Amino acid sequence: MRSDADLPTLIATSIGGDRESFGELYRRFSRPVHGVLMARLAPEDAEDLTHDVFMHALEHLWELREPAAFGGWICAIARRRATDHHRRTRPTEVLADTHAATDRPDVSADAHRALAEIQRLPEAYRETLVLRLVEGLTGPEIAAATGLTPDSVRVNLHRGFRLLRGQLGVTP
Amino acid sequence: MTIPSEDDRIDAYLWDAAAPPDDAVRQAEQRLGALRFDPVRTPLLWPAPAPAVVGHRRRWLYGLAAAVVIIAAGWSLAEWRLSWPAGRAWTMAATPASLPERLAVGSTLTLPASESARVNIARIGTMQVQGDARMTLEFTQQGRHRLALERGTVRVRVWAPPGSVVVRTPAGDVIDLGCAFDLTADADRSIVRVRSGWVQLDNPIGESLVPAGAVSEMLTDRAPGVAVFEDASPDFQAAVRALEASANPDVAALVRVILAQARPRDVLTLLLLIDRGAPGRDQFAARAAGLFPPPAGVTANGVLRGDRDGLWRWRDSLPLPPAKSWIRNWRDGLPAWLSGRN
Repeated sequence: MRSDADLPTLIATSIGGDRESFGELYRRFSRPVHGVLMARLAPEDAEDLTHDVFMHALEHLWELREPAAFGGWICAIARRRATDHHRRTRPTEVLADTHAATDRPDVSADAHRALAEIQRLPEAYRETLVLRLVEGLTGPEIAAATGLTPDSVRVNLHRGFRLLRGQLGVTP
Repeated sequence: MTIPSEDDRIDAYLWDAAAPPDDAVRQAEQRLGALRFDPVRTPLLWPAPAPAVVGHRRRWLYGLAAAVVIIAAGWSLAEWRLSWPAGRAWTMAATPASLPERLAVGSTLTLPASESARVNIARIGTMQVQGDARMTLEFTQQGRHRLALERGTVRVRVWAPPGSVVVRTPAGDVIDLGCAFDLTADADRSIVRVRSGWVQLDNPIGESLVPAGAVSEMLTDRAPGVAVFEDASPDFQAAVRALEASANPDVAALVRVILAQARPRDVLTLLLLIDRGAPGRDQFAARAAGLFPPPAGVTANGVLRGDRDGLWRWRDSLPLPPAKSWIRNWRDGLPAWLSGRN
């Protein structure tokens, strides 16, 4: 698992205006942020908002209380941004049905349909499953990003995948 | 040998992709993997710098001439703004009818609780005086203006070199360093909230520099308090003040609160507490280093052993407004309606 021992230094130098350091934070944490957004929004919107979330975080980095909590902090920003985005646009259910119409030809309609199935699951399971199945995070990484306990992540993965498996029609 | 159940296999692989794969999870991963975010393919886009304007040589010369004219005019205006004949009375910008139109040296402005007045600080700024206030203009000339605020609240905006305006209060002096600030004073306490630039608090026991966004208070019987940012948690602010007051017997609990609640932005407060020799300074130094590492050549241990130069270098590495760049706070020199500041 990746070590985040250098987080305090990366955050301090980012506050001081070092773009390389903030770029490293982006490389490390853009997937969790994107996952949090995509659990709630259409993929196109999630990609755009990922950038916005990091720019917002950069402005407010100075207010972060605990450097080690950066992952949870920026994911909380992402959740708020997703909620704001929802208020201004259509609900997820409608977006999910339009996923096939994408401007990214490399992203298959099948992937969009699978994501729509995740977005129909109870809220407790969506984020955990997207972070695991889409973004490829491990259980401990999901726990760090979401602020959930490792046990809760295990339960959400287990129950969520049991529901999803039936909806996707995947076979053991 | 126990054969893991299907659920166990799924759970293990869901928890860590390095575990033996499960076919059902792999199928879901393969279908969804196309949506995975790639920070290399989608790099962070920094705001682009303003494009350079390439123009005709003559246009360049016109621009240079215009710049010279603007700089000369600006210089003259600044000279005029900063100039002030010794002893000339200040004008009152907006006052109740019961008050005079000018504030002469030696005269006292007394306002009842229900009223407020705006006073022009020579030509370098304004001061909103709020209810139940008593204030005397003691001295005024170019570069040096001094008032005594016995009680009440003033909202000051000054755009001038540091030290141009001094407000004396019963608890000590409040010195502008090119700034905007709110000051509330009574017989034994002064509270300063800085809105832009820096302010210095000074009394016979010590001094304190307070940057924009921070608050400090000064009492007659102790050194001015260290700067604490107003957006710090209420518990953090209360613990710092209680630690300074030395009135709380449970110092260890206060130190714990400060350590737990400090953010990188609060490293300034931690460094100032270290400098003051506050209880818990060893822990504050370690915490400060964790939140905002000191610059090269400065160490937390060195600071604890008395490296004051290092401590100030550490403080200066924090992203705070430059202490002596009053000129950058040019908005404080504009009228309130234009600057968007009161």
